[in-house]
Amino acid sequence: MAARQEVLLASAARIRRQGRAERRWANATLYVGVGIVVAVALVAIFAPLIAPYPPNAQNLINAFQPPSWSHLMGTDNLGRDVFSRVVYAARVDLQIGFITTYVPLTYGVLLGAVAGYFGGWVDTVIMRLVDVVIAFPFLVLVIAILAVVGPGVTGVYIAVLAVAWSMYARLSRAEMLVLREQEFMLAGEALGYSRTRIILRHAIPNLLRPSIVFSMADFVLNILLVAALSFLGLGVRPPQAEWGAMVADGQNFLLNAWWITTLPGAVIVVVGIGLSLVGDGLAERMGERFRLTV
Amino acid sequence: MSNEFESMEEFVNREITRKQLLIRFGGLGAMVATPSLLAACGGGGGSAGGETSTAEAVGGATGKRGGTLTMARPEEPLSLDPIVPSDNGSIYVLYNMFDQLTTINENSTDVVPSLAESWDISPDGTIYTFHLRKGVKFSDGTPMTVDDVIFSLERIFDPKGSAYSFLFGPVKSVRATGDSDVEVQLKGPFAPFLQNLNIFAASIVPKKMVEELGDKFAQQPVGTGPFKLVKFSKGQFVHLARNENYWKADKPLLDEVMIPYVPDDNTRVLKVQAGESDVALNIPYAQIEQLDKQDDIDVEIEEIYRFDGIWLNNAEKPLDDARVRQALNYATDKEAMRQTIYFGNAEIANHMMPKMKYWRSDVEPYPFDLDKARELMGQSSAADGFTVPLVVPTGDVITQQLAQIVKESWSGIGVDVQIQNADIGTAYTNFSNFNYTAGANWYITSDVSAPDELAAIQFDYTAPGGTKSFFTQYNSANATKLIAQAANTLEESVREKAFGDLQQLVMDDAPMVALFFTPARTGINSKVQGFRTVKTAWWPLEDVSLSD
Amino acid sequence: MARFLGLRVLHAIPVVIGITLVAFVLIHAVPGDPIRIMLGGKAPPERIAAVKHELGIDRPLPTQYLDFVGGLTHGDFGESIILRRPVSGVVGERLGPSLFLLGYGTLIAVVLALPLGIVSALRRNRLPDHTIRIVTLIGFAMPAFWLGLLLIRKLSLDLGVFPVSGYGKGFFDHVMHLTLPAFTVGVFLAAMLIRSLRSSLTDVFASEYIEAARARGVAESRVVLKHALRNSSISTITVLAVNLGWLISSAVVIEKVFDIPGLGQLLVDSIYTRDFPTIQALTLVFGLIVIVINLLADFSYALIDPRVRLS
Repeated sequence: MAARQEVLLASAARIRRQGRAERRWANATLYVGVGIVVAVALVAIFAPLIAPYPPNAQNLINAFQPPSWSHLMGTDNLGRDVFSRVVYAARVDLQIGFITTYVPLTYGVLLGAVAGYFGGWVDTVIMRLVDVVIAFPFLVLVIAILAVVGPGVTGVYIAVLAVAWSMYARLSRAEMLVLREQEFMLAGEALGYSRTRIILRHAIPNLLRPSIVFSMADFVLNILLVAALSFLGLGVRPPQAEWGAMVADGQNFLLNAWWITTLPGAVIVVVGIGLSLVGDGLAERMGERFRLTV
Repeated sequence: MSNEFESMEEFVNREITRKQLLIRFGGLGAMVATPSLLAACGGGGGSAGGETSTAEAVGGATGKRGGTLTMARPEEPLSLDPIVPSDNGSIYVLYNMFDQLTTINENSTDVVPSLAESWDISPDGTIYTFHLRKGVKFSDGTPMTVDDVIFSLERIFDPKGSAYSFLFGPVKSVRATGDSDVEVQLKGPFAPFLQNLNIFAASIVPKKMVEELGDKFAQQPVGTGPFKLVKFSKGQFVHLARNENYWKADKPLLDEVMIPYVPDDNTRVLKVQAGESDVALNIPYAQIEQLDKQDDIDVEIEEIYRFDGIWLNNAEKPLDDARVRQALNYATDKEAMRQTIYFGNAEIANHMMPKMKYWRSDVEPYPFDLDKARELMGQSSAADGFTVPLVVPTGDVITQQLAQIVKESWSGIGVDVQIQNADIGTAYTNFSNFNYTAGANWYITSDVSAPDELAAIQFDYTAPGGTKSFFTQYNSANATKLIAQAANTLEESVREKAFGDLQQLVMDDAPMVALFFTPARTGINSKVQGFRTVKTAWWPLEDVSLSD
Repeated sequence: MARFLGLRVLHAIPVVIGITLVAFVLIHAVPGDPIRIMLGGKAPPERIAAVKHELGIDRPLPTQYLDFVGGLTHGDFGESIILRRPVSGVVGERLGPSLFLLGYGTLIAVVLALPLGIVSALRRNRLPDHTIRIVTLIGFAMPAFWLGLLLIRKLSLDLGVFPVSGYGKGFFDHVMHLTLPAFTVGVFLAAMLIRSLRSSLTDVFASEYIEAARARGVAESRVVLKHALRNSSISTITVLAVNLGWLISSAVVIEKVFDIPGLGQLLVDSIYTRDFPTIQALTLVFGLIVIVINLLADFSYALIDPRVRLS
C-alpha cells in the first residue's frame, strides 16, 4: 500500500503560490470556521445560562409545539424544549467528538510514526493490524461491544477507539516515510540523538499536519456516526440530549412535527461546516509554517 | 355445558397447571424497528363445545377474483414449518398456508370444523373421533389422507419434538378407524382439546414430504390452506400464490400475495401512501391521523388480544414489596402516555393480561396519583427510594418514549430509572434467566379467547415450565387457587367469578405495571376489500379481494 | 505485475484470518443463543440439543472455528442457523443490491465531484469555490437517513419520479429504485472527493509542468483535462478506496430507510439473532471487499501514473 501513502501525502493541501486577495479570503473562511467552533464551545460551557429550560424536563401537555418565542425550536414528542436540549447536547457532542477524534489521533499518529521510522517487522505488524481494523465491519464491533459492556456511549467510545486510530496511523506513517529521508532527521541521527527523541521531538511535530486536517472532518464524521447508531438504537442512553440522537428520534415525527428532527440536524450541519472550514484553513496555514520549519 | 364434562373437572385443572410456558418472541426479524419484545401464546381451556359438530356450509365468495395484494410488514418468518416457530412473524403467515382439524369462529369464541368435518366425543370425554373432510388436497395436488393427519397429530403430541405438546394433555393413542376417520384417545378428559387443535403447530402436513425433507420442509412447505408458498426470501419478502386445490369453493380471491419485509416505520407508511403497497401493517401511532386523512387510504384500528406492561422482577428487592409495586403503578401517567405516544389509540389496561373472555370492565385501573404513590413508598421497605435499571429493546421507538416518561414520573417518588438499551437477543436471554429488574413495554398476546392458559402462565407461580409467573416471580397462593377454581369447573358463572376475582387480585398485588391494551393498526388502500385482523392478531387473507 | 498481485494476495491472508478470528471471538463473547431465539422460550430441551448437535454448535469453540476455516478452503461458508440454508446462498442474494448501491453511488459521486472539484480549484478562494464547498459540506454533514427521508418525501411522494423504496426487478428497475439511495451515498462521497480534488488540483496547477504547458501556449482547457485530471484521479481513487469498504457495511442505515435488501441489514439481523455462521461469512465478505477495493486502487495508481512504483 506504499503507493497510496505517497499519494495521500501528495494530496495534502499545499500552497505554492497565493495572491493577497486569495489569502484574505482563506483567512476569512478560517475565521468564520473558528467563530462557529468557538461559539459552540461557549454554548457548551455556559449551557445552564443559555438554555431557558432544563433539557430533560417533560411537559406532556405541551408536546409537539412548533417553534415560537417561548420555544425557539419548538417542543418535542415529550414536550421538552428542543432549543434547551440542543444547547445541552453541545456538551455531549463536543465531548464525544473530542474523545473519539483526538484520543485515537494520539496513539494512531504515534503508531504510524513508529511503523514508518523503524520499518521492517515492526512496520509489518502494525500495518497488518491496521488492515484488519479497516476491513472489519464496524457494526459487528459496536453491537458486540454494546452487548458486553452494556448500553450507553461507553460502548461507542470503546468501539471507535478500537478502530479510529488506523486512519491516523496510515497518515502519519506516510509522512514519516518521507520525513525519514529529510536532512534534519538524518542530522539528528548523526548527532546521536535517541530514537525516542528523534520521533517525538523532531518527527511528530512535522507529521501531525495531515492528521490534524483530517481530524476536523473526522470530528464531524464521528458525530454523524453517533447519529447513525442512534438511528439503529445503539447510541447514547436516553433521555440524554445528543444531536444525533435527537435527529434520529425525531425522524419518526418528520411528517407531523418537522422541527424535532430538522433543527438539531441543521445544528450538526452548521458545526460540520465550521469544523471543515477550520480544517481547510489550518491546512493552508500549517502548509506555510511547514515550509518555513523545513 | 353438558353434564359429561363435570367428571373431568379435576383433571382439566391438573392438566392446565401442568402446562409449560410458551414465549412468543415477537418481531425477531425486525428487531431494529418493531415495538415488541416478547409475548406468550396461550392455549385455551374451558368451552369444549358440543358433543358432535357438523360442518357449516362453505360459503361462496364475494368480491372480485384475481390480483396481487402487496402487504408491507415489519416482521418476517423465522421458519415456515408449522412445528418449529414461536414468533408472530412465522405464525401469521402459517395460518394462511395451513389448516388444522378445527378452527375458531369469526368472533374468536367457539370451535368450528375445518379439516375435520365433524367429530364425536365419547361420553367420558376421552375418545375423540374426527371425520375428515373428503376431497381435501394439499397445494401440490396430492390428496390429504388419514395417514397425513395421524402423522401431523403425532408430531405435535410428541413432547420431545414439539414445544406445544402440552396444549393437548395426556394423549394415549392416535389411530385410523376408517379411510377418513381418526380416533384420538386421551388418558383422561381434557376440556380445551378441540380448541387447541386450532393452534398453528397442529397444522396438517403431508407425511411423505415431511419425512423426506426433514428440516428442509420449512423451505418448501406444503399445506392445505388458501395460499401456497412461492418464495420466502429472508430479509426481503414472502411470496404466496393461490392454492388452486383449496377445498373451499371460490377461495381465495387473490391470485398472489406479496409480503415485503419492511422494518422501518416511515418506509412502510410511505409505501402505502405512494400506492406501492396495498396494505401496511403496524402504522406508527404518530402517523395514523395523517395517513387516514389521505383519500384512498383508511387506517383500521382493530382490537386484538394484547397486553402491554412493564415487567417487574418480584423476587428482587425492593420490588418484592407489593407497596413498592403499587406505588410504581400509581406513579405511572398512563393518560399522558396514551395521548402523547399512542395518540389516543390505546386503552388503559385494568388487567395484567390481554382483554379476553371473562374480562371485567368494572375493575379500576391505577389512577395517576403521585401523593398516593409517595404515601405507599413511605410505608414500604424502600422509603428512601431506589434505583431501577429498565431494559428497553434497541430501536423500539414507542418503548423508548415510554421509558423516558416513566423515568420522569417515577423520579417524583424517589425512584431513579436507569434506561438500558439492549438488543433483543441479549434482552431476551437475560429475561428468560430471570436476570433483569424491570423491562419496559413487553407484551403478551394470545391465540385463543379463553384465559385459562395465559392466567396460569402469568400468575401461577407453581405452574410447571419453570417460568415462575412469566418471569415476574410473582408468587400468590390466592392467584393459584383462583386459577385452579376456574379450571376446575365448566360452570360459566363460577369461571366468570374466578377470573373476575383474579383480575382484581392481580391488579391489587401489582406483579407488573399495567399499561395498555393496544390495537392492530393497519393502513389499507381503498381498493382492498375484506381485509381484517382477527383478535388473535393474524389476517385471514382468503377473504381479501382487490377492486380495480 | 503478476508478482505484485501475488504479493498483495499473500499479504491479505493474515488480514483475512485476523478478521474472521476477531469476529468469531467477539460474537461468541456476546450472550444469546440462536437456537433458543429460533425455537422460542420453552422449546423442549431435547429438541434444542438435537438441533445444536445437528448444526455442530455444541462442539468446543476452537473446533468450530477450525471447521469454519476448513470449510472455507473448499468454498463452504457453513449453514445459517436461523434459516437452515447454506450461508453462501443467503449472502449471495444480498450481495447484488449492496454492490449495485455502492457502484451507483460512486458513479454519482464522481460525476458530481469532478466538475465541481475542478471549478473549486480553478477559482480557489473565490466565490464559486466557497459556494461549492459550503453546499457540499451541507451534504456531507447531513445525517444520511435524514437526507434520504427528505428525498423520498419530495421526489417520490410529491413528484412521483422515483419509487419510494425497494430494489425492483431487472436492471432498469434497479436503477430507478436505487437512484435516491445512491444519491444519498453519492452526496456524502462527493463532498469528500471535492475536498481532496480541490487540494490536489491546486498542487497540480501550481506545479512546474503545468506552468510549462501554459507557457508553451497549450489551451487552458487542455491543460486541465489532460494533466490535471490524470494527476487528480489518484487522489480521487484514494478517497474512494478509503471510504468504500467502510461504506458497504455501514450502509445499513440507508438500506433501512430505502428498504433495500442489502448486506448491512442482513448483518444487523444476523447479529441480533446470533446467527454465527452468517455473521462469520459476512465479516469475511466485507473484509474481502475492502481488500479487493484496496488492491484495485493500488493497481490503478500504476496504470494512471507510471511514476508510482509497484512496491
